[in-house]
Amino acid sequence: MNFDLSEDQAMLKDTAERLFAQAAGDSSGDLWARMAELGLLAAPFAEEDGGLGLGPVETMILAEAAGRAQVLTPYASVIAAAGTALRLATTPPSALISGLAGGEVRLAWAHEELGMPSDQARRTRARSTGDGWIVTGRKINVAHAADAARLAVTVTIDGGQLVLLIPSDARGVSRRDYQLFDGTPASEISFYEVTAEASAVLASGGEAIVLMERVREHLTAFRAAEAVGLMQALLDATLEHLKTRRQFGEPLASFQALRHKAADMLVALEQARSMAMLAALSVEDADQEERRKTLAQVRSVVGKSCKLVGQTAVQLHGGIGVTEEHPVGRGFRQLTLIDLEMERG
Amino acid sequence: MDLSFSPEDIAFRDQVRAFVAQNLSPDTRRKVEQGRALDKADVVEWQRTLNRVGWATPSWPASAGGPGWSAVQRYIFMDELYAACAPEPLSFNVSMIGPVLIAYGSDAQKARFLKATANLDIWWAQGFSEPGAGSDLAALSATAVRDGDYYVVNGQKLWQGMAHRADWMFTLVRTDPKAAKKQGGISFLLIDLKSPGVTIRPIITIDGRHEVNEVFLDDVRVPVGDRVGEENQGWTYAKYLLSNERTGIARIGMTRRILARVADALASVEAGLTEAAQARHAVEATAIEAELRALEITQLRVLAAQQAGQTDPRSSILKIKGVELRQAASELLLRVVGPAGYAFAYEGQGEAPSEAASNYFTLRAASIYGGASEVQKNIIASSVLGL
Ligand SMILES: Cc1cc2nc3c(=O)[nH]c(=O)nc-3n(C[C@H](O)[C@H](O)[C@H](O)COP(=O)(O)OP(=O)(O)OC[C@H]3O[C@@H](n4cnc5c(N)ncnc54)[C@H](O)[C@@H]3O)c2cc1C
Repeated sequence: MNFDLSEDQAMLKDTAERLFAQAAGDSSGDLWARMAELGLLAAPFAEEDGGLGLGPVETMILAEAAGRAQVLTPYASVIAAAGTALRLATTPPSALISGLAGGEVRLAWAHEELGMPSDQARRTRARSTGDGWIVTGRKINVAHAADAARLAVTVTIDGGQLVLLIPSDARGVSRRDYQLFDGTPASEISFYEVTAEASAVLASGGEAIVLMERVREHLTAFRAAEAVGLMQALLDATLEHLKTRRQFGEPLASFQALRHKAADMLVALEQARSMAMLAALSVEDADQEERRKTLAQVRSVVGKSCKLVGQTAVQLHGGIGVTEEHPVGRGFRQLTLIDLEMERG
Repeated sequence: MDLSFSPEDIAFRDQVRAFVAQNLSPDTRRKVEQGRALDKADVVEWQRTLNRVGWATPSWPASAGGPGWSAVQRYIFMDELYAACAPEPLSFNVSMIGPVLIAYGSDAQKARFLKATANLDIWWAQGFSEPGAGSDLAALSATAVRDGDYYVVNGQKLWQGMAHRADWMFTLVRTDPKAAKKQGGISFLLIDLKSPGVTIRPIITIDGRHEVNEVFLDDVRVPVGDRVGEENQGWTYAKYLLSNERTGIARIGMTRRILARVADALASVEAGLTEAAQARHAVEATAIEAELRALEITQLRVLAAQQAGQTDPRSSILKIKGVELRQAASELLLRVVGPAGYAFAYEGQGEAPSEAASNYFTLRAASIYGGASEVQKNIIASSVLGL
């Protein structure tokens, strides 16, 4: 048993933390381009596809660092979700993967639909034309869709399901942009009689169902680690606040009621950290049943921790904790979204 | 022991219900029902509608132009407003400054302000908190220095709700920095927000809305006649104001309204809940409902005691539990609405499809203002439990 990072992993952590800290201070630079330059986008992909062949632990390190700095990167949507869909496709599209890994092309994961639990067959439908598909339906909350050249879309067909790639500018695709409450740019995307070639299919039938589940699992693992980083950031900020803010002639840290709440935050954070590690170490597990059970447990613990740490951080900050300007307020909204995602699965 | 209302109370309730049904604008009703922000005009119009029949100031005695209702009638009135999705009368005016002026204001102040306060011709802001004085309000450091018939006021106030809509602000300032106790040496001033030297800056909160502000006071000249009561006795008036603020703080009707939205959302196809999640959330709603029922009775017990002329530190129970349940209901709504409620709109940038998230974020502040929950527990521990 060993919970230590290897030398390379420690270096990666250092690189990522420095990059994200810089990006948090100055949002003008193109973070995505910097991430590509440093090879971070290539991390999970096979070397023959232009990747670095790294594993879920490296992804966990990146996610946690992003959370810690409270930067909103498209990494979850582009690499952890859409990237997984490419990587685990029946025939991984090598050229596209290398474009993704190099930062030249972005994708988005278009799965969520209004009124649909995430593990059920989609209402977006495709009908066969013999040598391709015609897709009609609507997706919501597609993160970072505006910058995506292609969309990885989940659809239902007669007798099964598909995951297929549709160019964002294909005829019949329309987009309405908005923001999620954590600040992520997202879109509602409508598909009306959109034509897709047979070669656009990443997986079909039973393989499509498995692929969707794998994507959700990788998203869970990523978001769990991101949440750990966020919770650490909020705990750090709260401790600093308790030590410096004075009321009734004493630092808040002298009030036992608040000391206990800070201790509760740490307990919740450490439980979540354990689960983020477990998620990383299980997400490539070959035993589907075991994986499913583990990731459900990860979601349960991480969701609860997000709630406790987020709500407590705001409460202990008092009024400034509910301001848009303060990182704790924003971090709380980020944790709230992860909590809801964890609950939905 | 008898839980039922008297026939007179029931007749009163029916009268209120009919009035609200006839007079509340459908637009305002919809906004309140969905938890959307109200425009200034919505609040003013409703307050004036109520004021036309003398109902805008439920807690004011008849001698001060109020309806002179009993505590039970006030409770029934507020309950009907909540149930009908009507706004509350503006609390800064009606629950905070009005009663202070009635109890401690000069005749000139009463003549000048009470009618205009009831009719919302003047919108008041509460200028108590400061950067260094939150829970520890008595630590406030804004100063007022006497200069002939004026005070010259300097300092910064923080968190003034709706000050950007307000005409006047009631505020606490330090007039005797050398007082032995920090609660001494504080005076209660009324400040015309149009005075030179007043700067109001917006603060956007995590619900995306603009409700609170910072108010900077730079050499603001305030006539001595705009001081309430005695110089250096402001703390007494402030404590009176805060105790009034806390009555009715349980806001049971508001929580019921959120639960009604939960029930709607649970029945909606847009929620996209698994059967297991739907069942779990229904159980959670039932549990909140049960606690709410208990709190309702607790509130009536506290009211009955007040009726008999006692003050009751148990009002801290109402604040703590009332907020906890409102927060729980809003969290449940957020969970039930789910992905349909992830979209977010800042005030003035269009309507989000659902206000579930925004309302949840708004309500996080409810355990911070009006006496933070931790501070309420300290009050219970010392004043109720004698620890
Ligand atoms: C949305 C909103 C609207 C507001 N509207 C107004 C308004 O209109 N006018 C106005 O004057 N003010 C207003 N306030 C200010 C409000 O009254 C203060 O926020 C409140 O008094 C808490 O002070 P604080 O924010 O400085 O937090 P702090 O007092 O710094 O408290 C921070 C944390 O420490 C805890 N704490 C403090 N003391 C103790 C203790 N002794 N023991 C244990 N725990 C303790 C608190 O409970 C809290 O969790 C508003 C605030 C908000 C958020």
